[in-house]
Amino acid sequence: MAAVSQHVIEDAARLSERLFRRSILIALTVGLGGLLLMTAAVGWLVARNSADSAWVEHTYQVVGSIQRLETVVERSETARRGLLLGDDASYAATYRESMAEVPALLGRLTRLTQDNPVQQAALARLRPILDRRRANADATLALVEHGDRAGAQALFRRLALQRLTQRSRDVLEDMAREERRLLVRRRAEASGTSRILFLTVLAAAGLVAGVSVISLLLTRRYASDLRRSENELRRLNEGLDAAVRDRTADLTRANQEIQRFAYIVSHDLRAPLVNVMGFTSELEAAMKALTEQFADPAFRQSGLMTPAADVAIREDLPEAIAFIRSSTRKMDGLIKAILELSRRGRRTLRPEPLAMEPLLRALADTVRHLAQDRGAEVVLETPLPDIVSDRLAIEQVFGNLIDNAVKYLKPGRPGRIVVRGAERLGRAVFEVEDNGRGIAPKDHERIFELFRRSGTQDQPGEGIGLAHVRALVYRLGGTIEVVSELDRGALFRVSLPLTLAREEAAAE
Amino acid sequence: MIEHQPVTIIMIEDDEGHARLIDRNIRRAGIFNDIKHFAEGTAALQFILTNPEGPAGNGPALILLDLNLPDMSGTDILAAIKNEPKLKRTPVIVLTTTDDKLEIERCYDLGCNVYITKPVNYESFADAIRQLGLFLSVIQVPEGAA
Repeated sequence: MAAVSQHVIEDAARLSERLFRRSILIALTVGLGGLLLMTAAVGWLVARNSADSAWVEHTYQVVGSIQRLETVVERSETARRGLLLGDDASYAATYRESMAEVPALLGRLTRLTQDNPVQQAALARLRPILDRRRANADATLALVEHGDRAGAQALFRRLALQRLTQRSRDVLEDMAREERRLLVRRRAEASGTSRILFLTVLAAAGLVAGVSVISLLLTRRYASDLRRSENELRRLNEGLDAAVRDRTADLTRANQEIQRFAYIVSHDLRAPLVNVMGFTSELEAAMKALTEQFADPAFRQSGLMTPAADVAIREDLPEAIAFIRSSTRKMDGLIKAILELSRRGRRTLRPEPLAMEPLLRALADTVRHLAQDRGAEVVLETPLPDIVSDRLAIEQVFGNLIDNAVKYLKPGRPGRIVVRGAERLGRAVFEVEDNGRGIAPKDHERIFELFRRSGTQDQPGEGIGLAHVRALVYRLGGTIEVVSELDRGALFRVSLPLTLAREEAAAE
Repeated sequence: MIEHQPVTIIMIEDDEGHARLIDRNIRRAGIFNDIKHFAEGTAALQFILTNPEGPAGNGPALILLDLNLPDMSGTDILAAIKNEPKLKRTPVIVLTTTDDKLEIERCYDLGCNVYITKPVNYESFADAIRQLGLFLSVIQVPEGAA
C-alpha cells in the first residue's frame, strides 16, 4: 500500500515535472519567436522612420523652394518698381538676377512635387502667370531702357502687373499651405513611427528580459536538479562505500573466525589422535611379546594355547591394528589439510605487479615432464593480461588448476591443456581448459568442497586442491566457475580484479 | 661445592594418554628421574613458583610443558616461569601438537629451550621423547649449576 502510494506520488511528481518542462519549453519558443518577429519589426520600423524623416526633409526642401520663389518674385517686383520710378542700373541687375532664378526654381519645385498632384496643378497654374508677368515686365523694362519712362509707366498701369504678382503670390501661398499641411501630416507620421518603434523596442526589451528570466530560472532549476542528483549520487556512493566496507569487514571477521575455528579443531582433533597412535604402538609392542611367546614351540606344544587365541594373535589383532593405523593416518592427513588451509588463509596477501605470461609459463613448465609422460601438452595462448595481486596465491591457484588438468586426462585421448586470459570489463579473466575426462554437472559445486572429489578415484589426492583454490580466489577478490560435462573436458574460468587492494595485516 | 641433587621432571600435560606415553618413553630411554605430573596449569605454576621442594626452592628441575591446557595458556606459564629471576635458567621443553611457525617462534621468544611437536606418527614421537631423554641425561651431569 505504502509502495503503491509512493509510486503514485512519484508518478505525479514526474508528470508535473514533465508539464513544467513542456510549458517552459513552449514559453521559451514563443518568446524567442516573438523576439525574432520584433527584431524584424524594429528593422522595418527603423527603415520606415528614416523614410518618414526623408519625407519631412523633402517637405522642408519644397517649402524652402516655395519661399525662395516668393522672395525672388517679390525682389523682381521691387526692382521693377524701382526702375520705373528712377534710373538706377542696380535695379536692373537685381531684376535680371531675380528673373533668371525663376525657371530654375520652378523646375526644382516641379521635380520635388512630382508625387503631389495638388502642387503640380498649382505649378501648372503658376507657370503661365509667371510667364505672362515676365513678358509684361520685360516689355516695360525694354521701354525704360529705351528712355521711354513715361510709356513704360503707362504700360505698367495698363498691364495690371500687380494683379499678376498678386495671383502668383496667392498660388505660392496655396502651395506653401499645402506643404505645411503635408509637413504636419508627415511629422505626425514620423513621430507615430518613432513611437511605435520605441514601443516595439520596449516590448522587445521586455521580451528579452522575460526570456532571460525564464532561461535563468530554467538554468537554475536544471543546475539545482543537477546538484541534487550529484549530491544524491555522492550520498549513494558513500553509502555504497560504507556498505562495501562493512561487508568486507564482516567477511574478514567471518573468515578469521573460520580460520580460528579450523585451527582449534585441527589441534583438538590431533591430541586424541596422538593417543590412538601412541597406544596402538603400545598394543603392537605388547602383541609382539605375546606373538613371540605364542611362537615358542614349547608353548605351542604345551596344549595351553586354544585355536581361538591362535587366530586372534596371528590374524585378528594384526588386522585390527592395521585398520586403526590406516584410519589414523588418513585422519592425520585430513587434519593436516585443514590446518594447512587455515594457515594459508591466515597468510597476509601482498599485492605486487605480476607479469602473468612468465608466471603461467613457469607453472606450465613445472608440469611439462609429467604432461609429456602422459602424452599431453600445455599450451599458453598469449597475450595475457598482467595484474597486481599476491604472487604466491596466484601461483597456487593456477598451479592447482594446471596440475588437475594434467592429472585428470581422458585415457586414450592425447591431452591438450590451454591457458588463456583476457581483460574484460575491468577484470582479468583467465581460463584453464583441458580435453580430459570432465566433470558431471551435478558435481560442479562438490568439487570445490573440502575433501570432496568427483569421478573415478584413481588419482592420489585429499580433495583439498580446488577447495583451497576457491578460498584463495575469493580472498583475491575474484570468482571461479567450471564449465564441463563428463568426458568432454573441463574449463575453469577465474575472474580476478586487475588490482588487488592491499589488505591490513590480519596475521596474529 | 657440587651438590648431588637429582633433577625433578615437572610435566604439565592435561591429556592423560599423552602423559602416560611421555612417561613410558622417557623410562624407555633409560631416564629414571622423578616425574611430577600436573594436569592443570594453575596447580603446576603454584608448585613451581612457591613449593620449597620445587625449583623455587633451588631444586634442580626440568619442565615439560604442553601448550594446550584447559585452565590457562601454556605460553602464559612459560612467560611466568621466565619472568621469575630464580627460575629463568630452569630449562623448559615445550611439547605440543602445534607445529605452527608463529607459535614456535613465540615460544622461543619467551625463552623456551626446546620445542618438540607431538607427532601422530608414533615412532617419531617415541624418537623425539628418547632424544629428549638424551638431552635430560646430558643436563643431569652439571647438577646444581642451574
